[in-house]
Amino acid sequence: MDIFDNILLGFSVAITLKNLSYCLLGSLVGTLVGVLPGLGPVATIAMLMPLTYGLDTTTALIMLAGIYYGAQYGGSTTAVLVNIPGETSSIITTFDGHQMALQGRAAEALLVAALGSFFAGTVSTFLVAGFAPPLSMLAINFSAPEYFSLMVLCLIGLVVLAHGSVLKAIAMVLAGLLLGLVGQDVTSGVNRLTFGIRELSDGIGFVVVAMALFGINEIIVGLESPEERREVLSKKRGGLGKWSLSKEDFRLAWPASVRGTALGAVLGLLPGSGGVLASFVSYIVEKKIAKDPSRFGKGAIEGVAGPESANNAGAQTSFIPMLTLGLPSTPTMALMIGALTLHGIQPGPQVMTTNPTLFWGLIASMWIGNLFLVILNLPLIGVWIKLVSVRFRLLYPAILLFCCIGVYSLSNSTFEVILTSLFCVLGYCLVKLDCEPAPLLLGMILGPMMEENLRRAMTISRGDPGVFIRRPVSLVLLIFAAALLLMLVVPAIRKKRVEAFKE
Amino acid sequence: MKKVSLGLILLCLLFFVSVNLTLAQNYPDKAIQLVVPWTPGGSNDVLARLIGQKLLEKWKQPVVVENRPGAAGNIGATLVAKAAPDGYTLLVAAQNILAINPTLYSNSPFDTFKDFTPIATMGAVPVLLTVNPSVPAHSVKELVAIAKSKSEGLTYGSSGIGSPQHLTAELFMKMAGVKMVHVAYKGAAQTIPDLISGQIQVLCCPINSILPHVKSGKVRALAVAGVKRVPSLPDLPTVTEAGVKNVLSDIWISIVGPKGMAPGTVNKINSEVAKILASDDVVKNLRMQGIEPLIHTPADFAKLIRSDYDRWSKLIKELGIRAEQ
Amino acid sequence: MIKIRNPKDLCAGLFFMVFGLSAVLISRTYPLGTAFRMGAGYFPILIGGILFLIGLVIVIKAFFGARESLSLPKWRPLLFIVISIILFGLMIKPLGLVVTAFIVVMTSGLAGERFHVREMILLATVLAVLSAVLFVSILGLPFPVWPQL
Repeated sequence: MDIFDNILLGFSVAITLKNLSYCLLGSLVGTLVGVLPGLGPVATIAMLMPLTYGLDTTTALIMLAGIYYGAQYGGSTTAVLVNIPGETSSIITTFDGHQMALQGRAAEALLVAALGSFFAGTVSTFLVAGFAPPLSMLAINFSAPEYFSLMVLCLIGLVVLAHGSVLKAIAMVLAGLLLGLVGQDVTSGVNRLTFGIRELSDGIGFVVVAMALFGINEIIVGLESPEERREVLSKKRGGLGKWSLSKEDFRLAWPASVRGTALGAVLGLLPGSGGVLASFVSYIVEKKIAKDPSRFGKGAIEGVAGPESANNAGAQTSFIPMLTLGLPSTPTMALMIGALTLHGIQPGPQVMTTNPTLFWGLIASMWIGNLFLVILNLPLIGVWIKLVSVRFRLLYPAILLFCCIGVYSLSNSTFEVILTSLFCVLGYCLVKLDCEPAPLLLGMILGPMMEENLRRAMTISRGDPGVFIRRPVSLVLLIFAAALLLMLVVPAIRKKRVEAFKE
Repeated sequence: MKKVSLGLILLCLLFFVSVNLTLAQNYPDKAIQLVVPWTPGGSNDVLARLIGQKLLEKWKQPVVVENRPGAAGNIGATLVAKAAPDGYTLLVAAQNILAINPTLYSNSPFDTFKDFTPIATMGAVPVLLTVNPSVPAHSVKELVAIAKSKSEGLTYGSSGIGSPQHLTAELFMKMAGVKMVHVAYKGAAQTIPDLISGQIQVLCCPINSILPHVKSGKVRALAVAGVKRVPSLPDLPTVTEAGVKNVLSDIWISIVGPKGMAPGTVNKINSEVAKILASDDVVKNLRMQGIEPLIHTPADFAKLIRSDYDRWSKLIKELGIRAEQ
Repeated sequence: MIKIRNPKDLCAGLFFMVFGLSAVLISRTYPLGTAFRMGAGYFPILIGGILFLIGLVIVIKAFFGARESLSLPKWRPLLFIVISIILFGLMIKPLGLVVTAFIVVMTSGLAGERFHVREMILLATVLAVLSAVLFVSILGLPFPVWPQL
């Protein structure tokens, strides 16, 4: 049976009234969860899982998958409109997406996000269908040394992100690294920088910091400016934008989307924070190869198209290790495995042969789900924009309330809410001092991964640093890192020299 | 005077007992809060929600599953330890919270025996001793021989200091008299890929997550670290049968309440949970996940906690393992 | 006398210096290990140290770089937003979602320049009901809806 027969089989399973309606229901719930800050697909899927006991396995999985990628779409909506990353993977979208919204191009930003995601979803669904087994081997062979090298590459890339002072950006990355280290040290069990607070032993929640530094800070800064200037999407700023992309926008966006898809498809395979890394790496690439990098951070459409495609491609390919090996690459995938076993199916390589209707039905439904999401999201864009176009003084209490509820729902504890208020004060001071919060947030994600994998690699190699060069993938990543560093340093030195000559 | 006060005390006791009896009869007459001390989605969380759903169907009272993750389960556990012992705040506890954490963490916020009332066990997950297939060991004896031939030559993984994976491996090393290097991971998700790719060679892993890989041949199971063999792998010996004694590490999951709960309420919950665990669909459901239903009376459950607590605290103290929160 | 040209950079630099230095000081007690077998203290001390140095460079630059002035913050928005968040955290468990949402929205209204009483009461009522329906009824979060007696 070749791939097209398989896909045909998949569509014959997915296109039944029941499966279609559950796919739609899942996508809708997912979009809702994605739009609401703090609520993530993991918690939602866990809570909805008991409701799927009565469904048959394929239908249950189709619905749960719908929630998962629906949340990816929804997360970018809040990132663009109110500068709150609804999901981890949409932090990057806040950079240029929200800028576009402020310039009155909200509709274009959301449109390019939806279309880019759909394109990425289509391509990577095809990848899952055609090349799942060989791709899964890549995931298996990506271990501690490779992770460390990837983190080095990303950290150097972080500096590229900075649009203001490079020095302050580096300082913010380092501060983020330190914040990321708070909590119990995995290797030794020692508690670090927790001030004896037990709630901190699992680290500072990412969502807490993201909420405080982005969404809530945006409110405070907005309240400081005079009332007439603070309408988020007021007509004065050029309205809401057009319902179509101009030729120029399209010309810039589609190659970014293709590159983002390729990057996302590969990085999505990796266990851990594949989605964030994918969108982040894609942004760096776009900024690096753009003719005029200074447009980035000021509403460059590639800065939305690339990362959005990347995170959606990653969301799809993260199914590969789960489906072919039964290995969860994200907490959501762990839940999917739970759902499969609850329905009596052992995930693993045999699923494809013993349950072809499930396997191919799920894959076909992924594509249908993406199609639903585009169809849903296009009219929804108008609704969301209407919602956030109300007066700022009516909008901000709602955003604040939803942020509080989202933070509290993380672990049902007052502590996280109080911590959020502390980070609000910190974030406010930093913004006042012209320090950008994004490098701090990304440093916080990368820091613990970098340290953990460095120490793990060294323990496994019995203290031999040669592993980083001996393993080919790790070596390639390090070479990339070195090249990026050179690209950053050389022009800076040249500039200095020119300046020196002038004097 | 003395007699009067004694009489008063007796009266009070009688009153309390009768109140407790009526409470037990009416229990539950409002919503029950089931604290799950982990993030949503793990197998323990799924089990708690399943049992919660069944209790709701039976008692017609809402059973609210509340996730209170953090500090290896200690945050949720502390919350329940301090709650009123009326049976409306219960904790879903795995064996590590009650039997390992109080010794592992020098600043434990609770005392297993002074702060909790054992109510019911729900399920047990056996731990398998597994190796990467490239390790030339097909039995526990061969593995011990390889480990002895070169001290610290093999690497084993775990999902963190004091996790069942870690302590089972330490127990095995102590009983077999060998040394292997420990690599800790944040959670279990990354340990299995690294075992498959050969980054680590040995892993003591709960059966529910490793079974598919044993069946597909990507990982080789050498023995079960439990009292008896497991139904899903009937040919696999226990570690004791394979020649290394006293490596017992069943992970169990249970329901406990705050100290001082009325016996009537405890028995009522216990018998209800036992009934649920005996129903065919639940048994089937649990077995699918690699969990064996485990039914004990409250008294037997208390003994189980005691014996596990003693075994693990002895090991932790001997080896000087410690962690902070 | 040297004049401070850029108070923003000065404050930011000082902040980073304090942040880095305190990380180093707190991490002193953790085992250091060696470069090849790093202990728990190695990474935080290294990062904290570099942060301290970079902070120092930023401070020095503040005396020489371009002139920039620091605008004084307005305390009202920050204060009332932070109070609203803390109130939410403290009240949600005992008072339930409806009452908490109402009070939080009312308090956050004080962060603006003008407080429109009727408008805020209406908004708070709508949001309280909406969030109870959305989060508890539809999404099934385990929040209490009404005050716990």
